[in-house]
Amino acid sequence: MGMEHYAYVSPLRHKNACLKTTFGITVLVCGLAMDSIAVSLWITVSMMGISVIWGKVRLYDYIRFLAMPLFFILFGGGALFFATEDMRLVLLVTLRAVGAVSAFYFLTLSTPVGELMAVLRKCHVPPVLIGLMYLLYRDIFVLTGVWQSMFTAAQSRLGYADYRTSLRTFGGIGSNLLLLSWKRADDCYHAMEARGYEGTICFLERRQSCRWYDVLAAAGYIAVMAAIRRFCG
Amino acid sequence: MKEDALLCLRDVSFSYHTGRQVLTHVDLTIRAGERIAVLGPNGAGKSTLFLLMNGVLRPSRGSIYYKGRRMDQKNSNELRRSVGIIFQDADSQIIAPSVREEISFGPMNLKLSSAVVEERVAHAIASVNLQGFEERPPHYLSGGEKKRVSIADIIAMKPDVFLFDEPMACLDPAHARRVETLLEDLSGQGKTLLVSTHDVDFAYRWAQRILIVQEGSLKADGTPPAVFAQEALCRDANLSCPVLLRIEKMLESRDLLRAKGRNPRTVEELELLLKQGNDCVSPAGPAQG
Amino acid sequence: MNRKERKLVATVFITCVMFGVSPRVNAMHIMEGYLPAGYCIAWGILCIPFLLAGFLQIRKRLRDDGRSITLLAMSGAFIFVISSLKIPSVTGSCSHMTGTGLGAILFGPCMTGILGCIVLLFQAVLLAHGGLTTLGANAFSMAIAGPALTWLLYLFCKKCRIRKRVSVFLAAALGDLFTYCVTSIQLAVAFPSPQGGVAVSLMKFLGVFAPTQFPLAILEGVLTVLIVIGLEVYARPELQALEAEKGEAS
Repeated sequence: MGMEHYAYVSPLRHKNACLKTTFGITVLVCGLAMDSIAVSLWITVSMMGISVIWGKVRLYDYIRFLAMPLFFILFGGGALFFATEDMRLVLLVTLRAVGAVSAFYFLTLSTPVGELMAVLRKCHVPPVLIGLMYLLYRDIFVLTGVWQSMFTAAQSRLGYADYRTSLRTFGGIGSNLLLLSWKRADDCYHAMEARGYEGTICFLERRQSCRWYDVLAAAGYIAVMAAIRRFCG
Repeated sequence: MKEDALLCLRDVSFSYHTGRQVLTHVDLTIRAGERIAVLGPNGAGKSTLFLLMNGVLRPSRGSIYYKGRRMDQKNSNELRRSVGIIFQDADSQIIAPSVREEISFGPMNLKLSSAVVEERVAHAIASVNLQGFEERPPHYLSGGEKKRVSIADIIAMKPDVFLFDEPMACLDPAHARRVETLLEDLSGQGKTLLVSTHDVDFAYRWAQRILIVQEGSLKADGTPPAVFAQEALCRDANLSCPVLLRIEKMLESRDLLRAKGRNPRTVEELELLLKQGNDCVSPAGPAQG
Repeated sequence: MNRKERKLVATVFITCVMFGVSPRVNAMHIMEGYLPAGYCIAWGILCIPFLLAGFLQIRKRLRDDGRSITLLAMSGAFIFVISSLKIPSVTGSCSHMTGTGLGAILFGPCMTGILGCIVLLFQAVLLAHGGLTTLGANAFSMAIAGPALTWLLYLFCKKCRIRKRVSVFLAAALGDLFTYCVTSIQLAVAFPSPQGGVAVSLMKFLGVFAPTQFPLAILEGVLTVLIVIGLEVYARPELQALEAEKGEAS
């Protein structure tokens, strides 16, 4: 989960999370709605620039992140061409997808999940769901850690020696992990109750100022997008 | 009930829904400002005892008094506010995506204003020396750092009583020392501390009072030297004698030291005692400490 | 299609199959930005009633027993972890389970729907599997349709008194296949073939994805059975408690 790590160290982290989210999603949706090769290219290039220059993401890593959905791009593109036999459509969809991924990466590489959830809370998502998301997010890392050590322990006992064994090991680790997670759930609830939990999970809200020049820059970016759509098609 | 009794358990028994009896007839009085070590094998009921003291679990029989008032379903929140538990596994305690939010969870549940919460979080972070970690996510912290976060969680709630469930388990020596210093600090602030542990040497040097819990009941309750003097009981509970106490006994049996009831708790105290002993070896009657 | 184009298609296809062996074979997440805006919204709206049902059920359950919240969160995290793990495969490729089939068998389809949605959101943010705009489409195929079929099949098999292992295998594997069919439908509807319309393009999408999805579905079934067996060995009381709760809920 290297992408998340960048979100924590990014200089862009300290920009207002609501603004970043609104901006990222607006670009994403507009890019999709404008449906133009030029706009998609602009989003791809500019978002890479923003993330690499201001977000201090290493260019190599950024390209590696972009390559992650490459399989779907290639396979999907192949399938799409096979199905529709329209090269222009394939090109358009592929570039649009790359653009959308870039816009989304701007968001995920600059805003940690915790802050995204705080934004969701501001959007009046029911507190039950927000609480569930907070816990689920935290548990992902706890369980991944446990899985890691179980995997290593199984490996050291030749649990992955051949295909049949490795399937059985995977299943065994899976059921143990699930069982363990249920047991942990009890402890976790006790710990929450011990700290006065009474049905709603709430944390101190972080106050981030929203600078006028950031808003202006975001608006400018979208204006440029519109202009490109208007003049380059 | 005595004036300075803070938390009292009167004939408390507890069993889970499955019918398994975990604690039977526990009588215990804790006075303000005490430093108590809770010893006993795993599964003896130490954690359950803590959960009862904090009000998360309700006793099946008997009652709990806090500052002389009986705690029941209605005012169990008062108990949770005044008694804080630091769980053994920090991972099952930490729930928030950043250190600052994590520490704010308790104070927010106390329904404090956000200014007060902010101030308490800052204070708690400072008291465990985690300045600069505020925005870090807990999953990128080391085990020792997580432990400190889980302690700060409770410090921010400002309880009177702190219950530490095996705070030194799985910590490297440096972090274990840090935690011990923290325990000293809290004790210096007049807080009441209960620490469950398997480390008899730590219990011997740190605690004023030792409880031994075994098979769900309180087997011993007294000062460290008094408790460890009951050899049969310690053997039953699989507790070895603290190294210092053994050295002390050895020195006394060879007539190299006369502790006269002043049992040295640390190596430094032993050294001092040895020095004093050399200065004035006089066959005076045993003085009670 | 002229000769040159045919050649191109063949090359692209072979490259893709080769690629399919090395990078990740997601359990059919549709990528960010792949669907046109209208379809994103449509699939999102289609999800709402199902999610609402799940949400109401979760809220009721939390009201009845507050401690379910940590259990639900842990189970959701388990679905995330199990679906982000590489599963052992013969070719050395790296593929993933959906995990939602297991969720449906254990917790029922409604809760799995909500948990699956949250998991998909986190997968998009943390792992770049799927995406925000395609969340609706992905949630429909992976968190709603697949688990629902799994659940129905599991119930049906139970009624017919088929052995538990067999029924778990059938439910999980067919649920996985159904997910892949729904994803193909989603793609086909968004990109109909200029000659034969949606039907032709659907057949083609199904055909293209079949070679990777069939083995994956079988693996999903096998692994789900193995996990359920493990649970039966170690956690009979917990499983019975879950069964009882599900009985009350439905």
